[in-house]
Amino acid sequence: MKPQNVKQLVLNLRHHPDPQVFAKIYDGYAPKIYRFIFFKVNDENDAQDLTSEVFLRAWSAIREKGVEVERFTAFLYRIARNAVIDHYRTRKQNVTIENVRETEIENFVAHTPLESLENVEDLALVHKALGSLKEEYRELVVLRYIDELSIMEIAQIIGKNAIATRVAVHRAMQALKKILNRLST
Amino acid sequence: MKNNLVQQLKNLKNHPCAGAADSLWLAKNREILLMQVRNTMPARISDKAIHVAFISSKAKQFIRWYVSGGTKWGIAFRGSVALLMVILLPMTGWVTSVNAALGSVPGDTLYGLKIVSEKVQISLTTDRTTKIKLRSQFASRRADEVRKLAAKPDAQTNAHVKEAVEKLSVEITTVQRNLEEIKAEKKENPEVIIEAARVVDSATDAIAKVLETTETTTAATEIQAAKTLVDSVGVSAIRTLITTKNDIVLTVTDKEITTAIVEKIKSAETQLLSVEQAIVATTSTVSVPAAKELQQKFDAQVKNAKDAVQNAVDSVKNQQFENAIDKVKEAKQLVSETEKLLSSVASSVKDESAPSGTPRATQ
Repeated sequence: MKPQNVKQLVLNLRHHPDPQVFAKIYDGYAPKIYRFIFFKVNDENDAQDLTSEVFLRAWSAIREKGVEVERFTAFLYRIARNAVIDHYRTRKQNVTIENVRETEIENFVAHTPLESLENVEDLALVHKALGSLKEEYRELVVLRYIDELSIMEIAQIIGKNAIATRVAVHRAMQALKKILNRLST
Repeated sequence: MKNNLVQQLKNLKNHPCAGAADSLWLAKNREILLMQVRNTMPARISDKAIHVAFISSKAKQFIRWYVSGGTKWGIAFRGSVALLMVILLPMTGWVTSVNAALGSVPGDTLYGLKIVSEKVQISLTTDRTTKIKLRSQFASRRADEVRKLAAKPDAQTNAHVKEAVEKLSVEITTVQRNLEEIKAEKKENPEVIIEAARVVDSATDAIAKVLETTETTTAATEIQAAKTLVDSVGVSAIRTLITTKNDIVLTVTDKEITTAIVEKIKSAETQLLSVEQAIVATTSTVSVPAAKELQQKFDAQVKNAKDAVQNAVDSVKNQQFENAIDKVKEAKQLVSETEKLLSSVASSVKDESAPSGTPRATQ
């Protein structure tokens, strides 16, 4: 979703809470928020439930407190992070996608659409390597290269300044490459 | 190498194993979310209400002009103007009051206004699909009211819980009837039927979830009956999708139907698990010979329900959707019967263990 569109929608929502406007925001962000959560909980059902919860919390927060137009993306992702933390607290488990078993690569290949089968094994390897990263690094890689957020947006989400965030993202990619090299040999 | 890796990461975006959300779930969740969000909104101000408010303000100006001047016209019109005020002025409070009434539950002062405003919305809507959407939304509100009331049990609230449950049942029954009517009338326009069926399916899923998480020790029978009814309407909506899909090969995909049926199967499995836990809890409270007999009876019910669920799963895999939905309905009916039986056993155990001299609980 283009930044200008988001700003306009959030501005409209702040002054006149309209479910239809909120639905447009959902359309733009739901796939990203779902993916962000999925990489943390590694369960489709949990990710779906938590995604719904994130948007409901966002709606309540917008209505009750309003939200800065400039930081809406960070606001939404922070809600998602907190929702996952609350989820872990409730479930008393910390499931990650580390130690992806060999059979899951077969599963990965099986779910790959026909038109994307070229280089699917490379893709599966990248997916496995991502799963082996520590959570903090994996989050950064997902936000930067899969969700394609800017460094500033990521900084607002994780609560660091832009320089520290850029360094952290670089380190995360270095770690990912190291794991990939190890898996490729 | 970094560019290649970055590209690989971007390519992961749309892969289902890498967190790409199912588009059908996204769409269905959107509908449920919208319904929940609308429930938190003030009632939509109808054009009629705005018109009345406008007329009323003009009426006030008119009255001031004629009456304050003490003209002969003012005196002449005083009688009819007074009558106009009696009719119109109370309506200026309509919009503000309806907004305040939105969060009310049965027993609250403004609850009647909330129900009236819903009826006004229905009466001003001519499109049947919109009526279904509205009624589904109102049924969802009733479910929320049940949950709120059930959380504060006392003698007076119990009556209100039953009132809310009854209204929910009436609303959802009307939704089903409207869907049947659309099916009958819009055969040449299957898209309309499909849209209506999707709305009902989403709504019944959301309402069932609310009822499943409603904890209550009283009005349990009524809530259970409402759950059964909601499930049945949801199943009926899926059946509509299946039969309409069979008539046309257009927008309803096998995947959508599979997803919808799988949701119902998961719901049946969850209910089955709860029932099994309740059986263990209930049979532990009765005497050993009675427990054995009860256990056998329950085991047979649960086994039949599990078989029905398994049949449903197998039928979905073979794309035998009609059979799958029939089996889901069968499983849910068996679970519902088992729950009723459990409830009656639990009640009779409670009665037997009540100290002598205390009045027996009546249903």
